[in-house]
Amino acid sequence: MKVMRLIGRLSFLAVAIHLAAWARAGFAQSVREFHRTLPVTVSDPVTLEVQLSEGELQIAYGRQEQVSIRAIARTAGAKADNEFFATSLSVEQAGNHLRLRDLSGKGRVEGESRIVYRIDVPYWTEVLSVMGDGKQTITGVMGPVIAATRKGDIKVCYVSKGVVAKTGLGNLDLEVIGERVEAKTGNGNISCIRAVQGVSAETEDGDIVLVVVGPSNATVKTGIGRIEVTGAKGSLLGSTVKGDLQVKAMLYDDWRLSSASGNIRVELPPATRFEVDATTNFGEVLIDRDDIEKPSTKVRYFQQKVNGGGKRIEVRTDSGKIVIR
Amino acid sequence: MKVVRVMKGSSFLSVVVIAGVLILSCAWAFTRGFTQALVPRDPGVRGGLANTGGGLQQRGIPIPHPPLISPNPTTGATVNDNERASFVEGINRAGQLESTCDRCADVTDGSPVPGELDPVFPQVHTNSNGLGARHNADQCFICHAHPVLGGSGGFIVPNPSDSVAEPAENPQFRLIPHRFGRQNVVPAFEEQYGPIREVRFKFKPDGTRDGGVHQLWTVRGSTNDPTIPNCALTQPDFAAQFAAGNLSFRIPLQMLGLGLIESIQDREILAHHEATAAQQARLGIAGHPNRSGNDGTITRFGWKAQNKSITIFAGEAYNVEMGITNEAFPTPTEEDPGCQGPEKPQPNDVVRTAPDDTRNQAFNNPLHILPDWQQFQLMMRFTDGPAPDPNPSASAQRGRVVFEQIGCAACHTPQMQTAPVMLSPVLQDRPVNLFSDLLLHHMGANLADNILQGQAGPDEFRTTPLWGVGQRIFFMHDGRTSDLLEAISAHFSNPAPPDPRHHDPAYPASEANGVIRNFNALSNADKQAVLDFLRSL
Repeated sequence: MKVMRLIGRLSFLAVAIHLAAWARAGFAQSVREFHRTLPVTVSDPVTLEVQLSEGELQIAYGRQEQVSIRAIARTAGAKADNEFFATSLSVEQAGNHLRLRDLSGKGRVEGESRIVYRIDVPYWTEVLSVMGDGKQTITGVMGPVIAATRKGDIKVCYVSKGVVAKTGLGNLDLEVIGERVEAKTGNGNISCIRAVQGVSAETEDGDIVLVVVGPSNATVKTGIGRIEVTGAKGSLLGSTVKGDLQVKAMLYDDWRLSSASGNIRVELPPATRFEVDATTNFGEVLIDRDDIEKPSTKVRYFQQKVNGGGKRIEVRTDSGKIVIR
Repeated sequence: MKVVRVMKGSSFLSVVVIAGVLILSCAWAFTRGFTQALVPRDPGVRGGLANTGGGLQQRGIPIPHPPLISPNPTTGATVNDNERASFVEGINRAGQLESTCDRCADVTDGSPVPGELDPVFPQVHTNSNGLGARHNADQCFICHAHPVLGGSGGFIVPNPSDSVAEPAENPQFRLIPHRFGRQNVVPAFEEQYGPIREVRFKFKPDGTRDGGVHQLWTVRGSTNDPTIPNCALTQPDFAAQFAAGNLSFRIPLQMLGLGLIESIQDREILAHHEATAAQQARLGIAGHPNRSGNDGTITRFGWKAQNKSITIFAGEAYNVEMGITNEAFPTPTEEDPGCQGPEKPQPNDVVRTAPDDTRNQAFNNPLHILPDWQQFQLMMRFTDGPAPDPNPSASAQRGRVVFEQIGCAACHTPQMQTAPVMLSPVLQDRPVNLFSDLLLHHMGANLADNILQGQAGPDEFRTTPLWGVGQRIFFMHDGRTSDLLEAISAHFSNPAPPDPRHHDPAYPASEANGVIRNFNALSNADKQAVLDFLRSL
């Protein structure tokens, strides 16, 4: 009975200590904020250069004639230096050229910290942003945009000119881009929607999804990453290693699709005029269209001008299956 | 000696005369200069035309995009990611240059156009479709590009494809009527450096009321649409209608901050009206709301407060101004099959529900499912109100006081508050510096357009919100002046008897007469202060 009582007291004490520790951590969280508004002119583009070692970066359209820079650091479990941003953040302005960078090693907060940088810019802004670790989001500017991250996702949407997005490790999410897109990730997925001037997408291992894109090439260099394309508005060059490759679109230009061991599936609207050249070394070519006479036996090679012929679709896989429908 | 004496006498006289003339001249010059210095004068568009709208475009600078709504000053709430994305997508949609058939846009619908000064506001290549056989413009921002996109009507460069830009001008003078080879006759009321005007006909040929918009242009002669080679539509005989006094002009209102205006509750509008009732009564001001015939609530958008919501306004503008049919206005104003093309669906701009997306437009993405006109209303909803001069002059600051003292603020209510609880925290419970009571007032014969809309009578107009007036080029519903002083004077009107020749009824005196008398009684310095204040808005 005494033992039971002792256990009960010890349990109560343990819970109390945990609660106290939790409360201390919670109350110890501190928030440091930096905000500066910089005037710029409408007569020239704003060029924004950002170099940050870590954090989350958001660059978005706000209004003309000003750039608003806001940084918020939330620190848990430790007291932040009051002069944190004063000593760790550098903002330089020369006319419409702005440079934001963190001074690595200076004024770092002890304990866990999360810093969000929010930069509101005019529409006519060009962006060059380089980050160490962290996510980048860039929205609603004319561009061009060059965004690079060592480790972290990059999202770029509603940019009227070209975009280059590169990350060592992370996903790339690109949407409504007016000019050519170059997207490259060491390991991660790439999604690009509505880039009618085309995309060059490359990942070491990850999926690539392209929707309504101009002349494009997509490459998955290793692993099981797959490629899915809907609405190719121009030529298409796609290759995977083990992953599947699927294309569903109207045919505007030639397609060349290849995989080492993945399946390849091509879907075209009825009555499309095209020329197909499909080969699989160890798989099978399956035809599921009313305008093509289905082979009576299992085939590994199929070549035909459909509906009189037109743009060429070349499909190659070593051990995968090919479906034309 | 006599001769000498005479000469001496005449010399003296000459000297006296010359001196007299000199003194009088100096006095006249001094008085004139002094008077001129005090004669009140509209300081003109704040920032100057060269630094706004088409003036920027003329200099090879993109016209700035509409401002995103600022953080809520009461709570600090900002737009969320979805609202921001909808706003930016809305700018893309509103900037689209419309072609006339459902498949003949140069660039994929809704895509920025490479190589244009502003790829989101293209002037050379089309990136949408659905332009009506009759229309007033082929792009939202044609009529809403001053001082920024989403503003009111201004000037646009007429030769956007040429390497050397001509001075920006009324886009209805050359650009729109002849874009892509269209064969339109430009009516005399569309002047090169005048306001963008649309027209309503007061009466039909049989003498019954009309009141509707009659679109200026047709697609006849379009060189960029192979599906309508035989379109032979002709324009209405605007010259004859003008000569008969049957035209009523309207200029575009600016769209900035309309989401905030929509967020004001009816009770707020009525409370402000009641709070100033005694002052209004002294000045001879009445005022009443225009109300929806369906639910009885206050309507507040448009020159006569005829539109209930910015969604209705968006649907109407798409159909009436650009001829693009939609869910709200599904029927074309012109159904001539020779000018529609065989593949053009009606209504044209609708929610994309096709399950297979055969045209591969990425309609499986929520941001692309909504039609242009609805995305356009989202853009308006999250656009900030026009920003006043951050550093108003001492005269402008004085003007604000005088503005209230003489009674202008009795109708041009400086501020109202949005609803206390809304779905969007950035819109709710925040001040709106609109300078309008959103009510209808009799303005008398001088301004009467003899058009009825809802409960708005032939001489009644909504108090036009004054925010942004500092950068507007043209004033009053018909754009009759670009001089603020004349605009103020135009508020005055004596009672007028009926005029049967033009079907005009008897008009009462303008409700603004008392205030205008007060204004006229001001010193020149105070009048100037009011003008400076208005240009600071």
